[in-house]
Amino acid sequence: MNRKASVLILTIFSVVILLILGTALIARSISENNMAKRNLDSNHAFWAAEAGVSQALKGLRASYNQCGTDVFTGTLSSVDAGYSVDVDCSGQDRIISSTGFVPATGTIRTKRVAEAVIKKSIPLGFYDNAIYSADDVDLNGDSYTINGDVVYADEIDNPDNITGTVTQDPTITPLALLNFSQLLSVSQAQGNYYDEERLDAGDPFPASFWYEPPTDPLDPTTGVPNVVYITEDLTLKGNVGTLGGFFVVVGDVITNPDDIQDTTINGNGQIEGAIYTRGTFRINGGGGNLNVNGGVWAGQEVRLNGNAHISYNDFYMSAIEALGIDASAQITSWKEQLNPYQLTP
Amino acid sequence: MKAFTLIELMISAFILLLIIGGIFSIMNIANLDWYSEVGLLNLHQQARQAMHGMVRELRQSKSQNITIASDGREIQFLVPNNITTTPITYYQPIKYYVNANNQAIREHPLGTAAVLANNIKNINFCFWDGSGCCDILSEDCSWINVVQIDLEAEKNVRQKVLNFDVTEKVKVRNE
Repeated sequence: MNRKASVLILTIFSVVILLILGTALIARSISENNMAKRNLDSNHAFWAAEAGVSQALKGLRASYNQCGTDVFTGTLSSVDAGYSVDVDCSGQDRIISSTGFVPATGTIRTKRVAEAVIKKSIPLGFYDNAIYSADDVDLNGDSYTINGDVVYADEIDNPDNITGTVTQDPTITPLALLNFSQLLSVSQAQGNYYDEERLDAGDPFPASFWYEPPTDPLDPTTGVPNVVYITEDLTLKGNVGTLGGFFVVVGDVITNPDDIQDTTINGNGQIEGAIYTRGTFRINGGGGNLNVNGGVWAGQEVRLNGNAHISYNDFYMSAIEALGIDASAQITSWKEQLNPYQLTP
Repeated sequence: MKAFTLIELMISAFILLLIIGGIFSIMNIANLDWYSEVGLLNLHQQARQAMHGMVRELRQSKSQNITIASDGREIQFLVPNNITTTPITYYQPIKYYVNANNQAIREHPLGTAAVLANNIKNINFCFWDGSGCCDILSEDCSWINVVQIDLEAEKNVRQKVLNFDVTEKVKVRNE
């Protein structure tokens, strides 16, 4: 018997099995690797498209009339991706189409497209309401009163004690962005800039709506309201007394555009003026009496509990409007042009 | 040249049997591992594919247009069709959930179901308030624009239970 031959057969058999296993493993690994690469490319292209949207927003805030194809271009060097943004300026709005692609140079392997609408306007009737909520209005109990019109975007509960029109308008969301740099300058010039340190120290707010009372008592535009700029949540408790001004509760919105702050008032007192808050506005009046004589804007829910009263004051609102605060450009809607699945209109 | 004796042949056959037995037991273990790994890879693929699709669609919604079931096992939302019109037009609602057959289901239009992935044990949806899930039964969560999706995939491969969990937080882009 030739034992050497049997060793050869066994060896070949083992090698063939190992080769089959090895080939299958390598094929599987290559396939997985390609899938992972495609997924990664797709994510990088999406990040680049989003970077393009952000760049376009920044650019349009600086100069609103930049229109055409490839208006904004750039690369994300850390992930070898690039973007190019087209801006359509037909009408007042800016419709941007941001294409993110991989790689940044050469033949494109993957691309994703994000579309967004940017608006820079203060809606009609913005200064004409007791409550203007870009979300819900939640009115609890029957002790509250609202004298003036109410506009809301989503839902309203228990609107029985409103003496004014109640209008749903989904197009008012997100809340119009005011030019916060402009408001900040005014408030700092007036000594009405309230940061965390000043709020913690309990520095009192102005007691009057007017920084400079109207020279003509019948014309609000001849006076200057106090512009109270607050960089934190505004929380008032207990007997708040009488406060006045145009309260801008927006947090650190200039350096962090996503910053959102809330206004919460627990207790009793009188607020002469208006409050603009990008977050929620809540009054927990309880057994006390809390009055706002002016108006309220809220980016999120407005909720009144207990003995709370909000009255629209046209005189104050006209004075605020006369400040001539501009709107700031903001993204009002966003979509990805290609959906991963079938969609039915 | 002398022939092998019977004892020599029996001993060599026994040794060969031991070697083959050893090889087979090793191959059996390798085979089980192979199937487990392939099963796990498939599970990863299905879970990620389902998650990827959900995230891409959900990202286009807005918090006011999202409804999460009280037990968190179902979500329904709208995505925009045309954002350049006033008001914006929307596609028909989209719904995601896991059915009794452990399949991740996408319904669109409502009533028309498509299987996104198999072997999905559970999907949980919630509004993420920055520190955890907002309790929709006792809190107002409508202002939150981040949705957390927890997906659990599970599969049996040759009596071995394979698990894969994946969590994503989606910031909806429309406010």
